[in-house]
Amino acid sequence: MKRVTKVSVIRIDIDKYLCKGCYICVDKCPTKVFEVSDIVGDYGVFIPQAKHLDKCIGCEICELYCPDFAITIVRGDGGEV
Amino acid sequence: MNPLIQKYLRSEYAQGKRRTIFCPGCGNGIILGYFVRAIDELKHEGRFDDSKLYIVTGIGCSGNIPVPLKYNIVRALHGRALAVATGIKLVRPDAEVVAFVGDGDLLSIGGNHFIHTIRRNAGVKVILVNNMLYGMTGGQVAPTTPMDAITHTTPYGNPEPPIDACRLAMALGATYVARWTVALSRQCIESIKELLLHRGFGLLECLSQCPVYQGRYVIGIDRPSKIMDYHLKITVLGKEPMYGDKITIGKFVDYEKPTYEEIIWSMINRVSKGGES
Amino acid sequence: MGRYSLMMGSEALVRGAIYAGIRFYAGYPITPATEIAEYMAQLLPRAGGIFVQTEDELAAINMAIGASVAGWKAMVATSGPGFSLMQEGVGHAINTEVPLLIVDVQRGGPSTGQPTMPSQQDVMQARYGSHGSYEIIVLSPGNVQELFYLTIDAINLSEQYRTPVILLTEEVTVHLWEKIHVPDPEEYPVLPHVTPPTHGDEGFLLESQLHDERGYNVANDPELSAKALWRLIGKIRDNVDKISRIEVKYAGDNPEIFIASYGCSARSALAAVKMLRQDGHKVGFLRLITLWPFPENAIKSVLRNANTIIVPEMNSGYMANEFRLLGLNVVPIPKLGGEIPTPEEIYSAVKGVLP
Repeated sequence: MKRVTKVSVIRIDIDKYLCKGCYICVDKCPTKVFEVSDIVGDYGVFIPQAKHLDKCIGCEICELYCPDFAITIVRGDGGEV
Repeated sequence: MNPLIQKYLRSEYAQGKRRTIFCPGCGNGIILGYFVRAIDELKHEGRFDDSKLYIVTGIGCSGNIPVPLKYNIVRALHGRALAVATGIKLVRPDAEVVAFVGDGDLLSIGGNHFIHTIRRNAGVKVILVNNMLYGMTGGQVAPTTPMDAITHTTPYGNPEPPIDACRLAMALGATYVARWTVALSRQCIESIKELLLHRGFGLLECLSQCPVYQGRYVIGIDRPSKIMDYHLKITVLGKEPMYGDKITIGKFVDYEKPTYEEIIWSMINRVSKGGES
Repeated sequence: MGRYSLMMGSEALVRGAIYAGIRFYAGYPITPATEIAEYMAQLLPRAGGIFVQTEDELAAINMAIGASVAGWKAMVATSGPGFSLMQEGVGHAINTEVPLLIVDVQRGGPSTGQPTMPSQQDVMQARYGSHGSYEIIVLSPGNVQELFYLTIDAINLSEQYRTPVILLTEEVTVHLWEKIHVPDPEEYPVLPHVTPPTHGDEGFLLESQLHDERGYNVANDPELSAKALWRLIGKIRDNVDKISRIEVKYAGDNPEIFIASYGCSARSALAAVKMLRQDGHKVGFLRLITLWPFPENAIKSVLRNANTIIVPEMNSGYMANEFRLLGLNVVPIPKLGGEIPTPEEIYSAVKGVLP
């Protein structure tokens, strides 16, 4: 598999309609980018937010672990993962 | 919206009118994501044609995993997914047939079909979603539940030892057997890719978390990420499958031998040239 | 044109099925349907089809459902005990609207019963065997020629209405040797196979819970579930007059007494009618070719002038009850034990009620 140097992450979107508030992303992020916000999602849960994006190392664990496709990682060149 | 939804899920999901029905933190949703990503990566590398994909799915929470996908989905009866999948593969040997089944579906009521599908080496790829109990009906004991576990039908502890699906598959001569947990994303995705490209029967067992029943009753944790950590704690990489206090994970066997559909079709081609009926 | 050939009932059934386009057979050995599997094992691969002896009847019907969904006409054949095992598959095929032919060669029951003796004891199981509310088409051939043609008709009906169809016959009929007419290819109409509908670039979604037109589960919605189930039932109920068939003889002079039967018992019934007519009695003959849906309107119009129906059958009186529900005076001749009701037995029963 060709190793591609990935452009750094500029935004992590959490879909308010899809997030069920399981907080796997909050717990599993190795650099603690996420924090539970006070925004209530469509399922009635407090959805997480990528409050510390500067700490993101681009490992993509959050998007891989989300059971509901609620996380979208947006990289600097505009290309999504 | 995640672009994978637009690419691989049915239009109602892409239009934001329908959502998956898994509980929050359910490992099944994560497995759906791995499956979609495995196909995406294979298509990107030009190694897989998903226009001829049939997905057979069983009854239960794991049976609901592939329903949002755009492919041909056939819901089979409880335990009969492998029989339906064999029927499809025989008639369409050029198509890829994947079966999503749960541990109770495959090993309890579907045990007989499990044995014979492997014995025949029918080209069916089985993704066994193992949450160690019957989730859809409310958390009852399953053949894969650890001994002494508390479930809704074993309130005084499970009196039965669990079965090791991978070991049984290997003993029957399965040509691809692997077991991972949902927490090992790269390994799961690579295994699904290998499974899709494999010739003959393939089994991928994936330990998945059920935060509502497995978490709260069998293990005693309800935070999904902590259950994923627990799975990593009780599993260990191994060459041989074992399923006891420690569960071995890894790719146990990967080889090839003549498949059922190859044998049947060579017989038909040989006989039907001979004469009329 | 075609040709004439002497063959056993099982072979006629197999040749009829292959003529109708069946290319997948899955079965399990069971007396008295084993010959069907053996003929299929020989003849189907030569026609380019697939024969599988499965690990049990449950695998057989589920493999046949898979084959039908994947694009080939499929069938299974079994007897009473295997038919009991297949019931969940019947329900599944009804709910997912998969065309399928199921042959039940009736033997003495219940349970292991009388493996080598004929009976007609499964007529109610064919209608009500699976759980839930549903309608099903059940055909009953009366001789070896019909084992050929009714098999084709059954397969055509299953494609036309996208439903499983049951061909209910008896051990004695499939083991009978008779001369039959075998048509040339294309001489007898055969409908093409239908597979589940797809939507644009999306594949089909076949759901076994009650579902809407797109395949999504509506089981938790009372209104949509009722609509989905009434639609499945209506497929057959609204078309009873097009689907069901009966055969009527000796009815031109509007007799008041009829002998009504089906399957192997009908041959004795016809012989008895001929004997009675020779003795000068006005008795009519009615044969059910479709057992279900019960041909109520067709029967009512034939029996306009009738007041007594004699129903000989090889069970405890199942179809006699159906005729009773029409408000007629019924004299049942229920015969158990494995011997077909004889013409003499039917003759004496009729003489007993003659005015």
